[in-house]
Amino acid sequence: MFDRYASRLYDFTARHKRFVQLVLIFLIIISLAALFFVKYESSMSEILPKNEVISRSIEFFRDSNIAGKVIVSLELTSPDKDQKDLLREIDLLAGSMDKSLFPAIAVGISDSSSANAIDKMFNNLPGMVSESEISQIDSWINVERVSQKLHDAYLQLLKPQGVFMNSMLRSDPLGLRMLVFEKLKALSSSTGYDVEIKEGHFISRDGRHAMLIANSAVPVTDSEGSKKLLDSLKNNLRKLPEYVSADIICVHEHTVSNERTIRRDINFISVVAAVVLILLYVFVIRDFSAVLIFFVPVMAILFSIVLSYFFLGKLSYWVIGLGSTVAGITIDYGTHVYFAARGRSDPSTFVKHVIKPVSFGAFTTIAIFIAFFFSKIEGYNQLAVFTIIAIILSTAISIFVLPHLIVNTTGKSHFADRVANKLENTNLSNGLTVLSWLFLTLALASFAAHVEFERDIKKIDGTEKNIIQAEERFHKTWGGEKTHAVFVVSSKNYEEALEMNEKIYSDAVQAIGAGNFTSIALLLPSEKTRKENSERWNRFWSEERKQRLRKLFLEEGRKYNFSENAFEPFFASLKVSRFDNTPLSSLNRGETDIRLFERFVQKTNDDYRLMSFFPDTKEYVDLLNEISNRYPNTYLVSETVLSDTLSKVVSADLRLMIWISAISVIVLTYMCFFNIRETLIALVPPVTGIVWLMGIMSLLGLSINVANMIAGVLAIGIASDFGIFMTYRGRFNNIQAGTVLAITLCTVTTLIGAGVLVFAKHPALSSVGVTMVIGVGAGFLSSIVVVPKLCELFVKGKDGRI
Amino acid sequence: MKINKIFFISCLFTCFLFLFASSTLTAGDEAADITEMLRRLGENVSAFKSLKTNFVQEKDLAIFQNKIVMKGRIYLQKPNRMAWHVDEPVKYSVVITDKSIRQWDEDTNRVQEIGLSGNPVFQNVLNQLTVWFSGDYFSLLKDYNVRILKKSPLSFEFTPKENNVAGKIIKNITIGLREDERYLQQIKILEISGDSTIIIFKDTVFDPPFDSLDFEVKRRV
Repeated sequence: MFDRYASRLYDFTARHKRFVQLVLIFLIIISLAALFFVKYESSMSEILPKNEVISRSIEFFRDSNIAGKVIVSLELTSPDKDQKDLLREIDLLAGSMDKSLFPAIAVGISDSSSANAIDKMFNNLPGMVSESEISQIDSWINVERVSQKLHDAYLQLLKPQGVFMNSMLRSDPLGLRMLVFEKLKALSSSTGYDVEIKEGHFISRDGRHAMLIANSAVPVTDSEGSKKLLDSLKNNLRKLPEYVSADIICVHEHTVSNERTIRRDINFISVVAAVVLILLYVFVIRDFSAVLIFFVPVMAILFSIVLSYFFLGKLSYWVIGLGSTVAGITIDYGTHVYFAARGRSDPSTFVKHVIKPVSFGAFTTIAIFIAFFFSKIEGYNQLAVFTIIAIILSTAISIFVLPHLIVNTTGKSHFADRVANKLENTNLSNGLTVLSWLFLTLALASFAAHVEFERDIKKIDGTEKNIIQAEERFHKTWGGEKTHAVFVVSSKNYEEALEMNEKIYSDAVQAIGAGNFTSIALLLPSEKTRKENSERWNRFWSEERKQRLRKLFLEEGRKYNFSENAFEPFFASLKVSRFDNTPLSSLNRGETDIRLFERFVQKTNDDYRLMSFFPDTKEYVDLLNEISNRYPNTYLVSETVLSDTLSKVVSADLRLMIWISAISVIVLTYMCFFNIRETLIALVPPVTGIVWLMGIMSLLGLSINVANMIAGVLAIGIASDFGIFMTYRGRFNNIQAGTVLAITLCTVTTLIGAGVLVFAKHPALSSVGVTMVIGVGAGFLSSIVVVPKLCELFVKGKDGRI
Repeated sequence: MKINKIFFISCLFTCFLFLFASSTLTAGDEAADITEMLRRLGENVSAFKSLKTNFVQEKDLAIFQNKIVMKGRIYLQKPNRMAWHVDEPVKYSVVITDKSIRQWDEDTNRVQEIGLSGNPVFQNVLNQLTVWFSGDYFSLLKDYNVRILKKSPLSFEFTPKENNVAGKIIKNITIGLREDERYLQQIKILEISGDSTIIIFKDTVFDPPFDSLDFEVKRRV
């Protein structure tokens, strides 16, 4: 039935070829015009699976200004210059940077703002001292401790710094403020960075580096904006004197570098592949009309862009890029039709003969991409729409338009014909090759099970070496290689967030220990806790206790020449304090730019976020995940969790897609032949492709990643086409339709394109190249050396042979 | 705990030392005069590479029953080494280098060393002390208003600027220079509370030969 309708349609287009060609030209013009109305998106978020953990992590990084920070590390390269020169240069640099691109720039911590924040905390001491700390203070009120403290205070006052200690010692002779200071110290030690503050500037331990931290106005996903931002910054850096070198550390560098690497790779690949393909077609085919084969996928891609945008309402650059690569393989269909039609006075019989294998080859590839609709990755869904449209159109054009455009070359003996004849009549398939194939496939199958999914996204990051080296230099100087996982508490109500943060801190300390969990909870208690602490403080400082302490100070103070009213400021501060319910300042809420607690408290558009940090190990992540599950609006952001989730989700996706693809391919292949034996034979190349691909990847230590996963699927699609073509050839072996030459040429062209990709600098592109070469190569080999022999043994040919 | 206390004290000390990190001039000609004088002074004072001086420090503080008079010696070696040895009323020593701070006192007879690595507070203490004692007064213009009290011998008054946190404690700091303007004669720190500290420098020797024990905290004093 399929053959009958396809033949009728072919005859119709043959009769009305002028009309069909005019319609095609008209559609091309319309589509070209429509291209100007298509809006492209550059966001990469669609390439990630729809998953709560992944979306939340991405949202966290997008909303927080962590990812948007730009850091410049300046280094003194001349031994003749000193820190003053360095600090002057970093100040000048900060002053010269474009404020529209860098709205907030810090070269150090503002002394006055830090001092004010610390002052404020000291003033809030009654609200910050916990029950256990009150017990601790109680244990200090005795002769030994007071005597020791007064002795220390006396010595301090005599030392150089004593000049500035006077009022502090009078107001805090017991050192109660140390309780707050210890908490502050714990926060600063959690950053993992090795920064010193000198003259209000961030300075490295060796004193030869200074650091500038800027907030960027450009999102890291905006590659054009990132380029502008980096150009502006690099212009500023060019003005630095020769004794100062600079390293830029920011995600924008990765965005721009990845794009630059891909563009360079694509340019290189395009030129090399185009030259080799042209040479191949010029010397092998030697027919100008063969150029039309190239135009088939080009037209299909053009139409597909317009139609996909019409159906989806949006289209990402990467979908077009990847989809076009996939659509590029539809050149194979044109090639098959071309070889069936060329050199025939009446090509219709030969073209009709290949309609079915070509169509079913396309159907199996479509079936594979139908599986992409079941993926949780939205980008894959878009890719499926784009690819399926392109494959359908490309196949239709190849079958119903291309044959009528091929110049009739009847009567001439071509090099291609001679090659075709030779290939058709050379039998590479025999018992030995089949046995060798079987042995190799079984051997590789044992390795195939061990191939792993790449969890580390950085492995497919194509950032240039100089940027990675700059980051290595940065970490060597400033530390911070180990990233911490983040426990995020999110709430629209600030007090609610503080309250939850306290509870989580308490649970987390029990789970992983106080030393491993850095939280602002102790410095920013909730209103409820502040009130409780204040009341406890007031109860503790009873008149009786104050009198006891006053007496101790008086008696012990005489030994060190302290006056009777030496510590009156301290006792004055102990007068019953009213609970201070004033909301915390914007500084502490992290609403402003680069501030003391910015790392721990952030205000986003919708809510407040309180962040605590802990070592990013699986054990801690698991323990804290349990805690997070108990509290709504809390979550973990961790590289470990993100990698694991990504790996799990994509692996599950991959498994589902493989099953759907496998079933679809088997069903469609069967529908092509309606014969189990022929179906099984036709499936040999795709099965070989899968087994060899995974086995060789495992042997070479390669892993599956988001990029080469699609390439793998594509390679299997091509291999399944080969299986159908060759089995079909086996069934009709009296018809010389140039199948072997066609699939050889298809393989050669695919291997040229993919082979060049192997040498791409970008690891994602390179992995795509390796995957395509192995998958398509294995599919081709098995279709040439295995399928013919199997057909010979098991397929009953239409000429009556078995 | 003791380390923490010292850390804390030094932190506050550092905050206050930020006071000294600059000053501005009053106006017009006087401003130009002061800028010029401080620059000239900086050049004169920075001529030495090391220094040894005796000092007497008088502390008139409400916290003490009586005024305290201390006597001792300061050793300074540019860029980052300073020793402060006190002989009476109690013997103690503090040695600050770019790597650590070492302290000793006779009462406890213990040497305590605090590394500056990972301790930005002490780093700042060192920086500020270096500025103060090495004579780079020009850099103090950022955070202080400066007034000339007397031109011969030269004397300046440094008053913390409005946003200078030191202004919460310090009313002003007066420095008096020697006749030859090569080094300090005295420093007087007047606190807002009325407490005051005066350090008078005597027998200052420039670029002296140092004994290896001069920068040891447990030397014989």
